[in-house]
Amino acid sequence: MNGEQYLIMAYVVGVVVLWGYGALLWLEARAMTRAESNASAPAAPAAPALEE
Amino acid sequence: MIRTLTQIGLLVGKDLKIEARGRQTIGLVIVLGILIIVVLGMGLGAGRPVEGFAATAILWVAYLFGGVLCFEKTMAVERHDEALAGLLLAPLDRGAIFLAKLISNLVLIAALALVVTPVAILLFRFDIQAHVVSFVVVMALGIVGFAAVGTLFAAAVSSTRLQGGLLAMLVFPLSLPVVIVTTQLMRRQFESGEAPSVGGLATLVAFDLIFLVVSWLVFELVLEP
Amino acid sequence: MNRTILSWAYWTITALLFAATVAMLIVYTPTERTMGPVQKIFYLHLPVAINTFVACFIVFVASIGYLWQRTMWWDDLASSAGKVAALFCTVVLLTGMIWGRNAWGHWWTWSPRLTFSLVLWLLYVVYVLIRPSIESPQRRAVVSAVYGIAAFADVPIVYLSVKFLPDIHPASIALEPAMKLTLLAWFIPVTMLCLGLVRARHVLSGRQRRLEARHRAAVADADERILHVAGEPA
Repeated sequence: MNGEQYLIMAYVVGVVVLWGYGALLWLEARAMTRAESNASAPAAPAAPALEE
Repeated sequence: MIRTLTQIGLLVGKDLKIEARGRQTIGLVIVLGILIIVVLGMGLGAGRPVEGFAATAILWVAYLFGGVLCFEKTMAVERHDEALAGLLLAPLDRGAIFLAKLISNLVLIAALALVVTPVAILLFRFDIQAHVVSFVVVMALGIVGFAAVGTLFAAAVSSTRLQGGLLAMLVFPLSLPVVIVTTQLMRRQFESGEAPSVGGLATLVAFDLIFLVVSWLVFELVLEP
Repeated sequence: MNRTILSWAYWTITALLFAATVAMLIVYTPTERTMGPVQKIFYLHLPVAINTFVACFIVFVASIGYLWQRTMWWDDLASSAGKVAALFCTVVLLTGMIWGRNAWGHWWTWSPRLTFSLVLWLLYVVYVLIRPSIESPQRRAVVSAVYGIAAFADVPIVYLSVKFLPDIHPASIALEPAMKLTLLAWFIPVTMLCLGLVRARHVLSGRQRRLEARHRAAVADADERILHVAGEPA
């Protein structure tokens, strides 16, 4: 492996780790948005069922 | 000032009395230390002489693990019969509690060192004699800093479930600079007879001072009944 | 939403700047004579290293902030910055090792610089990993804060201590003006990345916390209704 290949290896590692984490956070944020809108849907339907 | 010193004296006395009666911690710690030395001895030393400066590193492994056990146990004492709550209710300076625990830990580690070091010298045929004074001074400075960090975090994690492994994980990285400096100073001494440099000793003293002060100031915040 | 647009703009700009600086490396930056092309790792390595310190400093300040104000906002900031510090330090370590492998033939030497990166990495990886082991959120925040302060206090001592290691390969690089410009250019996207990731993680933690609080409130609410229906006083 020559110098240039090591250079590319280093930058690929950098991009994958740094931007990879960013991508991970983005995916988690999307999941969070979905979870938040689910929580906003009224949970009330459960209560009437108990009144029997 | 005198009052604080008296308090510290009383607390240390209490801890050491409890220890003297049960002799549980010191026994465990010494046996652990010897086990570590034996394992390393069989791996490294069987059949060939081990260099003098490797002594520092091997002994550090024994001191590190034995030390963490000590820190854990001296804090564990306070979990019986709500002892810690009693301690906190008493009109004690919190810093005094820290210093007392630190001194108890240092006494236990000194006992560990006194037993384990000769065992290592025996098993590895270390020739420490040429440089005993440097060895003792350098290692003592290192152990004081290590114990300051250990005492603080032992208190911090004593109320959690997984203490032992967690404590080691917290304390080892923080103590690495001490291990680096002490082993390198001793390496130079054993290889070329060069006495520990002022810079090296100053770094160790700096570590000790920083962590003694930080631990002393923050100790109150981590105590929880 | 205004915030989302700002967020998208920020990340688009960061990505574009990153791409631009990579292009700069390929077409503009001269290759160093003695070390060859692998020296260009430096333009990523140094800004990432500096930003690791920035993240460590944020952990330090946020830890003090928590111990002072005892709000979870500070704890979330500390843990977010801690994760970014560990992440960036991973890149410093790996790029340093790759550079070393090419320059001196070994993936690892106990040289001061590499050892310093290793100890720093261990300090902050431990910070990230121990947190889940402590169940009570307040306890976790206190222990993390104490560790966050201790770790940062340790950094100068680690720096001093590694000077005692044999430095077999001192590397001093004389920078031409074009190289200095490249280096300065690289600082911008890397710093934006660091601060952006800390903020993104912090915001996410806040949302998680609020969502959990809502769930707990909903459960408590449902419990109350069950008791009411069963004839017990709510």
